[in-house]
Amino acid sequence: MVSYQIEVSSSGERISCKDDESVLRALYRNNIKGIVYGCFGGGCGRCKIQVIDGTWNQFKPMSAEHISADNLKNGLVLACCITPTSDLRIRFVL
Amino acid sequence: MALKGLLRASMAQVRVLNIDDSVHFYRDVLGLVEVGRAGDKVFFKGYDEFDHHTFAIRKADKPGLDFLAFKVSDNGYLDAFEAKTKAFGLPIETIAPNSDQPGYGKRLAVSLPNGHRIDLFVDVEQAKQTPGLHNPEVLPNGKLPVGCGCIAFDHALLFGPNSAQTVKYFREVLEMGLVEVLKAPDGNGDICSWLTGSNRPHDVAVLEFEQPGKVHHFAFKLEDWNHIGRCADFLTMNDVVIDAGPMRHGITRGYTIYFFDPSGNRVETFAGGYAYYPDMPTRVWDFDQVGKGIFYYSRRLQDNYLTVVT
Repeated sequence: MVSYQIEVSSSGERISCKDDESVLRALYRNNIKGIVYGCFGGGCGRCKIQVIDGTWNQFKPMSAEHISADNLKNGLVLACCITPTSDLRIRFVL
Repeated sequence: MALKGLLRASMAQVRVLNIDDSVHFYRDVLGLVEVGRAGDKVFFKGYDEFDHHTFAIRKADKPGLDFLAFKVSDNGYLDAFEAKTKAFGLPIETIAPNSDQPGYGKRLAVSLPNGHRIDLFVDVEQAKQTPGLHNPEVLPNGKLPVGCGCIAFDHALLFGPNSAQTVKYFREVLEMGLVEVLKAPDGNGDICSWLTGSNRPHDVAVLEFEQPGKVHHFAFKLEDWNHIGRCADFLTMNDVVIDAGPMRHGITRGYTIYFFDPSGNRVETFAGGYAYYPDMPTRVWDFDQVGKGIFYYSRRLQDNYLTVVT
């Protein structure tokens, strides 16, 4: 198992996220300030983030109501539905 | 039999993002019985129910509630509800028997003012696996139920605009009882209403919300507080995201857990609550007591409770 670093751009906080753990789970587990979350299932859209730097894997579907194809191209994702495949820098959208 | 007209909220169809994960969740974790599949849908029932199926999931690109269905005692009432719905001015259409829901007879689909759809029906085939009917045991087929052991479909909380008109329809056309209400913050009107057609403390609840057609949760019945505790154990063992509980509501007095299905739909397992009778007066909650009404023990409205919907 590999762990990656996630940096929250607004605060500069850095946490560790395992490669089989959703980014939201890591943020939640570390009680990161500013985190907004809801269903953890890709449905409610509350954990929308923008990945500014880094690569990720989408391991489950995101509701089309909250994430469009254009959103994905711009790094806008639901944190509950992605795992990191490199170190990430993110910003909270909501 | 004294209970006539609209009998109960008896079936729902829900949108999910992934069928395999959802089947595992509803069948293996919640313990619903899978009764069949057709196209992009899977059909389930609780182990203590007689109808062909009482819950359906449909694969879609966004989660939420397709419709909530109410069983009606006979065709005389169904015809009367159809005429009164038209007179009330709501769109209504007829869904042919055995079309999108196997085993179901004719259904009337009504578009509510809050953006939701409800179906009304009388006829549905009996399920192959039912509770015993002759010298029955207390458990179905003499076996322990699977997973959380959900008994039956129970109710749903619908979010959307025009809730006053929606409640008026439920009361005046479908003749449901208004069991409890939560007053708006300014005390002017109700922000949430709990309604029933049965002895349950609610078959459906309606909350005023800007976006139409949103569902807060739908619920399955468990037997009692002990089963709620065991359900919480089982949800945790299966890494299900628990939203709130186990706890108790002040409103309805039910025992409850809220949690999320793999697509982010909020699900409740619900037990207890008082028995409602049509002669009972409506119980009223002031908005500053909403914490106690929903979260009776902590008496604090949880942050995500009114904002996380599908």
